[in-house]
Amino acid sequence: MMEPPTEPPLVPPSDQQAQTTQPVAHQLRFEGKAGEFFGIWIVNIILSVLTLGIYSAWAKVRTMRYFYGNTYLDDSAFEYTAEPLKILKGRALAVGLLIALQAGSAVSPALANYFVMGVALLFPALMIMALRFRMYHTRWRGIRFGFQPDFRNAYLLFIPLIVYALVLGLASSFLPTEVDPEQAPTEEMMWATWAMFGAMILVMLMFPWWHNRYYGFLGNRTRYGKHPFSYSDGAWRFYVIYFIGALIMGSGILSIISLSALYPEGNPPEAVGVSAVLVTMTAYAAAMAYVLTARTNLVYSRLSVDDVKLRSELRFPRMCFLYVTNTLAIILTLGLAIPWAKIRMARYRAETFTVRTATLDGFLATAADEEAAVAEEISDVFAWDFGL
Amino acid sequence: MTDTGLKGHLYQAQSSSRSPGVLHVDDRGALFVNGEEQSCGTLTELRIPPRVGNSARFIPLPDGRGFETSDNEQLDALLQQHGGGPSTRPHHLEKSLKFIAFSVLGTMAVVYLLVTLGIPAAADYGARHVPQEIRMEIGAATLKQLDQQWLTPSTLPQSRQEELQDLFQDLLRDITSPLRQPLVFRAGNVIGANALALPDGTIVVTDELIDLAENDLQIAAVLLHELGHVEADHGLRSVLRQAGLSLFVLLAAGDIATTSSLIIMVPTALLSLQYSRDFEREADEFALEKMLALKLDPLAFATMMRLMDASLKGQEEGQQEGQQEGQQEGQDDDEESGIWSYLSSHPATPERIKLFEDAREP
Repeated sequence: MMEPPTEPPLVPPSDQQAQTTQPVAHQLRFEGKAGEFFGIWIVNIILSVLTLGIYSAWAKVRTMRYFYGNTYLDDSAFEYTAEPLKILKGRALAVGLLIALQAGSAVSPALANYFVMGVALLFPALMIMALRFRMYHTRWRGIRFGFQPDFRNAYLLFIPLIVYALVLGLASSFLPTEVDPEQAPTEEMMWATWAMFGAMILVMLMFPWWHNRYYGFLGNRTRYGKHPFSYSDGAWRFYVIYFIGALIMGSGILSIISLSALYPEGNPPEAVGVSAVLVTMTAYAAAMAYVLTARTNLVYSRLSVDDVKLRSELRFPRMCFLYVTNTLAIILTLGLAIPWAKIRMARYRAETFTVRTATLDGFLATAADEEAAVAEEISDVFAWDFGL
Repeated sequence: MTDTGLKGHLYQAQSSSRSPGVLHVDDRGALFVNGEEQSCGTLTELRIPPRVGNSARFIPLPDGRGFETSDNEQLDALLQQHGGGPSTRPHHLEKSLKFIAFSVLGTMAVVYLLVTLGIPAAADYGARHVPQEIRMEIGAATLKQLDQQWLTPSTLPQSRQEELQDLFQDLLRDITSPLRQPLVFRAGNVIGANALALPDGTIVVTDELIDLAENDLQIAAVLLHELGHVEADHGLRSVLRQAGLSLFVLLAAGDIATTSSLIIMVPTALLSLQYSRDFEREADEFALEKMLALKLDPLAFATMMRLMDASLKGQEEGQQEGQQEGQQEGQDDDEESGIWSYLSSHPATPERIKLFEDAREP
């Protein structure tokens, strides 16, 4: 028999709460180690190969659990609770569908087109199911996150993109597949070209506005236990971010134009051509990194739950440094540095993420019967990840 | 052995409120939280997640509360002592230096075999099963694309074109490939003195190449090299190999989406250049064999290579594009070996010239 423990009873949580009323910023802490994760990563790969992909479901869960379980908020870790078998079922179904599609399109090529159209039409619904699965299987302090399935608004959200795709498809059907420079374009062709051009400009102008709505949709339907997240709306900062991104890209293009102006004969030495390619690639990568960094900061910092405020403070130079060194390391080690790259990125993301609140003790889970109903509804099929 | 207990955090049921916690397990596996008199269940009835590295584990207690601990060593020892619990095998493999070394070598071997054997074999199998109409379509589409981007109609006189068609017909006599098409003449412009074999067996020859050649024997040598590509169906095979390769690299590296496309581009480019060099070598060997069989002087090929090399240097223009589809001649720099040989679509020119010079009977 064990000896009765002698420690005094601990202070009840409610007393602890009373002592702290001033909001405190809790920084996320990431404790993953590159060496440790390397073992997990490489064993995942070899076992997935040896089992012809079956182990990949376990690999996925172990990787997720490693990153979640090493991310601490106020000394409590996150948890990923999905069952590998369910993920395996979802993957088996996806592979089955692809094989059926392959076989089907050999018989009738039109089938592939219908399938792509079907997936496009189902995309908002699939996205919601996948998010629901992912959120339901994320826990902190034993309380699950959740995602409110709101199919109607998901489809409303995607209507502009669907209209855009339709306009492009319709307009391009008026254009000939071959352009004959000798022949003057017909009136329909002119209209179709203008329609396509207009739609593209409109989408570019609308996109920041739309992206704000998109994150609003995701944020406002996410909850932690019983407590809904809320997203503070506002499109103009998205415009600023995308504008700066475009400027970075534009500066690259501008420098190439000025470079080529030095060679009016059109015969620049090879070194100039090579550096033009490098400048373009660098400008593109820098613009992507900027938009990603600024957007992540913006979206997270706009989220709150009750009186808890989130804040992400990634810095652009540091992110560039991480991207560049990670890419170089991965290439030079033929991929073996991938675990190291992932760990240091996760660590930096955690270090720059704070949660500001007076107390983290006051959250309640959804009622048990309600949660059981959600668990019942969540289909294994949607263990797919869309990289959202 | 359980005097100290497992240290961690205790969470109330259905709430995020937390207190420090100690979990004791007695000899029979009964659980006691924070010294409570009443046991809250047994270790064996719990659903404890398997260990992953040293990440924290959350143990749902039977009474609805939760206990979280990072003391994985002691938790695993307890589970082992009382039986039950999740499998620890993956964790032991992930920790074992021997198994990690095996995994690294095994993965490298698998990737190597896939890239050198698997993808080429699958692509070659695919190429044999592509219906004739589709092959023709791909060929026509490739030529159309070339016409739009680089080539313009040939300015060779009709009589000269017919002469060369006749020469080509003579060379075709021993060719078994069903992909026999007449020669196509084009002005090469920026791609210069060049010849290309397309997936449907069409061979495109540029005016510049015809002008560059000192005699028809040298033209025949180049045509035989291109026929080597046609006979072995290199055009379609290389299109399919590159498609397979892109798919593989995407699947293998797709996980690291945000870390720049370079990681995907660099290995794909290097490997597809390797495939391309292999095909060039094969076509050279084919040309050499035919030349010897037809009693043509193999030195003609070597001379032609030198001429093309010199003309390329004279041109001194960046002409790296255009090798995605079809096999091309005349793109080599003279770096003979070392790292540059990995960056070229063709084997080094001196190496190719030597093959033909050595073959010549003294």
